[in-house]
Amino acid sequence: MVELVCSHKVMEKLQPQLAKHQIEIRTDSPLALVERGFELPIDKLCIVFEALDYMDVVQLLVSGIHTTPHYLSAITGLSNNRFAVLEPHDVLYLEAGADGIQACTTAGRYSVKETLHYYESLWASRGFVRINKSQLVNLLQVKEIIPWFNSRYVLRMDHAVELEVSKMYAKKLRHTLNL
Amino acid sequence: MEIVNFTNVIKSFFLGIVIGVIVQLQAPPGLLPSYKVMSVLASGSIGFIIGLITEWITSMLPLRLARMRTYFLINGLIALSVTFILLIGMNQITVNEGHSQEGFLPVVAIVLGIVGAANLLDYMWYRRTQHKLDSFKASMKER
Repeated sequence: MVELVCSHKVMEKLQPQLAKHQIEIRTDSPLALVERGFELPIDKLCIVFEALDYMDVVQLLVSGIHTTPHYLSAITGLSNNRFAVLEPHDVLYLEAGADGIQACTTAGRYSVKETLHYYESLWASRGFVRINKSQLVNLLQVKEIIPWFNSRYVLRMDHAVELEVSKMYAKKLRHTLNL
Repeated sequence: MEIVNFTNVIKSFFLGIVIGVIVQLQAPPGLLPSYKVMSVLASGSIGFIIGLITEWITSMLPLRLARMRTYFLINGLIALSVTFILLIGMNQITVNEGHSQEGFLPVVAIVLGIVGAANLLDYMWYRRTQHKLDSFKASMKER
């Protein structure tokens, strides 16, 4: 459970996200999420965040407070009418397309049912990072980061797969790698 | 044009300003301050044009060409050729106006030196990125 000290607008955004991960909002919680500019509650452990980064706080809570059990980190994928259990390390990248979300592994492509945003939250601590509007990549499977023009990157993976990091998400990649 | 990064164009403008200031340090004494300011601003404008042309050309390059060597080769070629063309153009203007050409070669040397240094820094940044990726992978595996 956490206490929220933030603007009404940010609270409206945070409440459903916290509810989704079963994190209760209570004023008597010893932990407070405080939007920058608001007064810090006394005698509480506070996490101060920028209004724009509210999703990072949710990710921090989800990956930091809960130790994800093994069975929760694995997902189920469908390929040729057969279901398969996919571990994060098996997945090269996840892609949103006309047929929904596809998990691309060394063994093939599997349809998975949740949104990219969901997998981004679930596997952020497993080295997955969003690289453009429709792809989420497993950085552990990246062999080389090739700089490209217009502030973009190309990620070279095994099996001759190459993925584009758009200029919008290049900043996030640099932040993840602490560049 | 939508993938042209205008932040890079602005950075080119400021790189042009820096080059202009360095070139002014080499200029003969006794020049009017207003002339120096105008020269620095002109250098910035040239940087802006080079940045815009470079960003525009490179935005048309297909991603399938993306290789480390290709990137540095194209990057170097574009920077050198665009800079060279503009400097030749400027040289022609000053010839037509009857100015002395004695100080032109050092300017070319300075500009090419800075462009070369920028590419070297870019390569070092690439090496750092690979190193950071390896460190990230190692730390994830340790977990």
